[in-house]
Amino acid sequence: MTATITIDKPLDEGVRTLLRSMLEKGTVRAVLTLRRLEDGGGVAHCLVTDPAALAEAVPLLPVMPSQGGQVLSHLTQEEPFKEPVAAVVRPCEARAFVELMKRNQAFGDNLVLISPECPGVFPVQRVSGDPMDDDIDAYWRSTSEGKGADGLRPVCTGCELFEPIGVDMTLRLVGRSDLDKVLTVRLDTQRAEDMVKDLGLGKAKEDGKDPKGLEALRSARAKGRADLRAELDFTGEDMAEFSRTFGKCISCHACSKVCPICYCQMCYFEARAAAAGPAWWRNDLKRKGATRAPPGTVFFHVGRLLHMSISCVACGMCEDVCPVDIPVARIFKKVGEAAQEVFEYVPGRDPKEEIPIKTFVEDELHEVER
Amino acid sequence: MADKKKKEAGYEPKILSFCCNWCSYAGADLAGVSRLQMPANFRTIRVMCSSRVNPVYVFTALERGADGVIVTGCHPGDCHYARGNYFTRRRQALLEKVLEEIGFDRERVMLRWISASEGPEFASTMEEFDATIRSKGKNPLSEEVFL
Repeated sequence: MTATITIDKPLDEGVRTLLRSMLEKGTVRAVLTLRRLEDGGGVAHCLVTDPAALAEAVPLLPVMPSQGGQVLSHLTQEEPFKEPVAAVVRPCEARAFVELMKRNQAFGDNLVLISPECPGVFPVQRVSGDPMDDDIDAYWRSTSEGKGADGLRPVCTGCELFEPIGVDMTLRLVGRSDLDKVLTVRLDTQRAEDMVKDLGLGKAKEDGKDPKGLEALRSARAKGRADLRAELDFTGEDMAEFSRTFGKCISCHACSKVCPICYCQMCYFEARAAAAGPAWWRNDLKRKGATRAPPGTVFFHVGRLLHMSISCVACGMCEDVCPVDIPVARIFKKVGEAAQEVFEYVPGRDPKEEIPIKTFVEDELHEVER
Repeated sequence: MADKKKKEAGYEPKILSFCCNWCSYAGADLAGVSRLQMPANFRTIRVMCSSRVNPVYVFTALERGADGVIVTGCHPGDCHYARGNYFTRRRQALLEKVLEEIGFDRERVMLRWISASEGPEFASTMEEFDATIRSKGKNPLSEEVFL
C-alpha cells in the first residue's frame, strides 16, 4: 500500500504549497509548472527557483499551451539536471517525456515528476483573453463527481490513460468530494516519500480506497474512446476518406511542430517537398494531368503516421493548433493505438521498454511474411 | 470514363521490388541467368539490407504511381548483418497496419524471404505478386491529384 499525504489547501493552492515548501526547504532546486504571465499575457510552462514567483503558478489550470514532455526535453536535451527539479506535468506529458528519453532527446536524472489524475484539458485557444472561470468551476465540480467536463479537447474525452504512470507523486483528484478543501498526494516512489518527510506537510498515511468517481471516470473514458473510434471510419481500399479529410490541410505543419514525438530538427517531409523539382512535376502531370502544388500534402500525414504513431501519446496538441480543424489527434490516436497493439506497446509505460521498431523477437509476426 | 477503360485494357502493372544485396538480389540474378520466365514489369532497387527500406519509401512509391511494392530479404536467421531482417519484419507489420487503418489496400505491399540460391522462388514470387496486382488493377492513388 502506497502512502499519501493530505495538504489542507485545495487544487492549485495545494500544489503551490507543496512546490513552495520543496523549494524553500531545498528539497528541489527548481520547479517546472504552468504559470500565468503578467498582465493577462497568457499561460506558459516556467522553470522557477524563487518561491515568491510561485504566486502566479497555476499547475492545474486545465490547458496545455505546450507539451510538458517536449518542454522537459528542451531543458534536458544536452545534459541532465544536476540538482533535483520537480515538474508538474499531465500523464500524457510524462509519457511523451519517456518516449523522448528513449529517443535520446532527454535525460530523466534528478527529475521529480508530479502528475495529476487528469480530468482533461480545454483547447489551447481558451488561454488567450478568455478568463474560463465559470468553466473551471464546473470542471472541478464534474471532476469531483467522476464525470468528464464539457468543452474539453475531443481526444481527452477518449483518454483511458488519465492516471499517471511511472511518476513520483500522483495528485489524486478524480472522484474526491473534498476537492475544494484539501489536496491528496500519493507518494509513488521511495524518493518522493523521503522528500516529503522533511517538508512538514503532515504525516504520510496509508492510501485509502479508490473513490467511486474514479471508477466512473474510467468507464466514461472507455465509452468516450469507443465513440471517438466509431466516428472515424477510413475503411476502404483507395484511401478516399483519409485523402478527403487531410485534403483540407494547408501544409503549415504546425501539428508536427507541437508534437512531442516529432523531435527532428529538419523534418524529412519538409526537405522532400522542397526537393520536388521539374522532373517531379513532369512525372506527375504525365500521369494525372493535374497535380497539387506543392506536392505531398496528404503524404506528409501518412509519413508522420509511419514515423511517430508508434509512440503517439494522444495528447491532442496537434488538433488544437490545426487552423483548418482537421481532427488530427483523434485520427493519430486511433491509428497509433492500432499500430501499438501489434507490438503490445504502450508509449511511455516504461523507460526500459524499447521502441518496437528498435527491437524484435525472433519468432513473431509471421502473418506479414507472405 | 471511356478513356479510363481504354487505359485499363492495356493495363500493365508497375511493380517495385526492393532486393537485398546479399540474398534476393543474387536470387533475381540467378533467376535471370537461369532464363526463368517471369513478368517483365518490375523494377528493382538494390539495397544493402532489407532493413534499409524505410516504410516511408514504400508509401512514396505507391503515391508516385507504383501499383505494388515488394520487399525481399534473407530468411530469418540468415541475415548478412545477423538481424537486419527481423527489423524489416517489424517495419512491414507497422506499414501494413497503418495502411489498413488509413483505408489503403495492404495487399499491394508484400514482404518475402528469398535467398541467393532461390532463383525459381524469385521468379515464382514475381509471377504471384504480378497476378495479385493485376487482379486488383490500377493503384487508385496513382491518379489522385490532391495527395
